Amino acid sequence: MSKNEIAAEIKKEDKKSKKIFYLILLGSVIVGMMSGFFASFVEDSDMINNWINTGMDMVNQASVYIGCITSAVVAIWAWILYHKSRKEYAAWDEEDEETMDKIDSNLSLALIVTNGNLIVTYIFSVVALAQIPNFFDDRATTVQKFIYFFGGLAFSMIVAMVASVKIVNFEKEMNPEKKGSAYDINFDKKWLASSDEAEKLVHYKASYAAYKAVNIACMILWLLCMYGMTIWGWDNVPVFMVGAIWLTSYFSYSIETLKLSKHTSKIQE
Amino acid sequence: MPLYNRLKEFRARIDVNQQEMGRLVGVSRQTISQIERGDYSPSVTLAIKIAKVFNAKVEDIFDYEEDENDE
Repeated sequence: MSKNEIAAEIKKEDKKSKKIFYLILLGSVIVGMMSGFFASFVEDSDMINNWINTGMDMVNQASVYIGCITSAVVAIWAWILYHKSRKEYAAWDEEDEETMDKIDSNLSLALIVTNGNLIVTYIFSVVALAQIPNFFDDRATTVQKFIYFFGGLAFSMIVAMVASVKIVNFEKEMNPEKKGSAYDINFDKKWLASSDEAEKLVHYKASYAAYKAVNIACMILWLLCMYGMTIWGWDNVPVFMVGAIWLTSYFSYSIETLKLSKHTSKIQE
Repeated sequence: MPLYNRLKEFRARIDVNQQEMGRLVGVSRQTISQIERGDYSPSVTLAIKIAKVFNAKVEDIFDYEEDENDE
């Protein structure tokens, strides 16, 4: 293709996408104006503010117990899934692909849910900590709430750790070429290094999907912070934290892309 | 990009299962399964390793046909 043909192709593609881009821009301005009006309505509405405050109080009170409850449910569910997978593997005839695909899928799901539960517990633990009264003001309540808070946090960590060790070791039995111990701080690196080309491609594609999801999530959280600061009087901390996550995600991706494009020998590592 | 393969047929000739095949060429059972289903196209290196297991040429096992849209 000549330079003129390339330029014409670029112009054609831009023209096609520009219309939709400007429509989205216009739509965003209209939605922004409407939500701004709605925000001022919410700010002045005692009823809505009461609902929000009641909801937040309920979440705050429940936060002390959430870690214990979710970890117990997740632990039972993951244990059932793990043992079911063990039985299916023991009965496997070494040819049936569907059985093995199902086992891999179940184990991945168990790992996702147990580690997801750990993150949820981390979040609610911070909320719970703020609900524990001063020890000298109310000793009985303080001790009770602290036990639930600490117990929930510890329980979720134990569930995640035990699940990780059991599942990783099971995966290594089924795939002896895999390396890495779940106890190892460099586990991710060793596991990836022992993955084959198809498995690495899955990791890389999943990472890119996660990067895009974080960008969208940060945009939404930034908007939420804007409303939070104007309606509910939030301070600067939430928006700076969102900014820190957003910038870390964006720059780590961009710099890694730059590095890999300069050192192409590292792409296939 | 449809890459057709006869990996399952070749594997049956020497009577190895997917797990053993994976071990011979240094990949997981899942990757062998994905190649056989046509869900994954192996790299040149992996395709050559697979062909060597059967003492065959790469083009005996893998074949690429032009998509109608590519013409």
